[in-house]
Amino acid sequence: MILREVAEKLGLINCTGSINLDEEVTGGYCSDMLSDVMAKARKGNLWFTIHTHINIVAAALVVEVAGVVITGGREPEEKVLIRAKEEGVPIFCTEQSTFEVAGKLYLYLSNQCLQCQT
Amino acid sequence: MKNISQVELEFKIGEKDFDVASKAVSETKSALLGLGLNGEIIRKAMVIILEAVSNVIIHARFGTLKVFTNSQRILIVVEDIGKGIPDIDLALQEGYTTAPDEIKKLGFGSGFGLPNIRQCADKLTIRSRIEVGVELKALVFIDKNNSQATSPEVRQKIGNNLKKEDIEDTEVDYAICKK
Repeated sequence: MILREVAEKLGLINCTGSINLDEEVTGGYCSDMLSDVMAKARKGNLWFTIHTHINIVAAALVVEVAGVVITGGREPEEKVLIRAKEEGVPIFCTEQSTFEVAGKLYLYLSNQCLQCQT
Repeated sequence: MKNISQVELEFKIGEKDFDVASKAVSETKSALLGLGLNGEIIRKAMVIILEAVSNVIIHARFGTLKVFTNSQRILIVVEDIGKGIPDIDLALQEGYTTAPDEIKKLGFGSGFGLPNIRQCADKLTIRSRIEVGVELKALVFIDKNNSQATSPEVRQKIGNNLKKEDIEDTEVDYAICKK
């Protein structure tokens, strides 16, 4: 499932416009520790976090995540969005908690796998 | 194998300057992608850079990041002026941190920075002088197929074939130089 479709299904608010929306989403990763994200998240994962500062762009670049979803109704700083657009890192926001929105992604991707197998 | 040119980059790391961390990651990544390096090799270098630069910002007063690349390896050198590391063995333990609470709120200070660096580097040297600073040198090998050198045998072979000036004095894994 590509990022554009995932964002629509999850009801995410797009904060960075049309950049890289056709990237394939390979899975999800939930973490608010940047070292953990760098060690364990995988390329193409959608990263769910409560962080809103500039460091999320750097960590996203290192891992090459499909995008970053800021959860719990938090909003990124303006300079974060400017840098994210410069670097091609899609950033989304949602009122949903990390648990809720990541759970939905897990279900969608799992159902997709099941449909592919049948 | 594609002829890989040399890359030399340098960044000044100012006090509490997190902007330079993302800038360093972005510019170095672009440079390494331009050399046609394998994605996994680039990822390892980026992890080392972001973790090491963040450590300078969090724990030191200021520092520098230098990245040197040739056909055999990426050499990352991070030096800082600051309080130094009293016990490097302890600092390398997963979960150990001296980061203040305001840093933890930014997602750093989990105590996995140096362990991440050690995991990604094929060779690592950390030297420190108390109340002077820290010097970190990390090597990521580029094998002749420009692919991930996964086996210890391949890593050993590459390490043995590096010229002395390529690895400088990184033979010792880590050392503390007392004041």
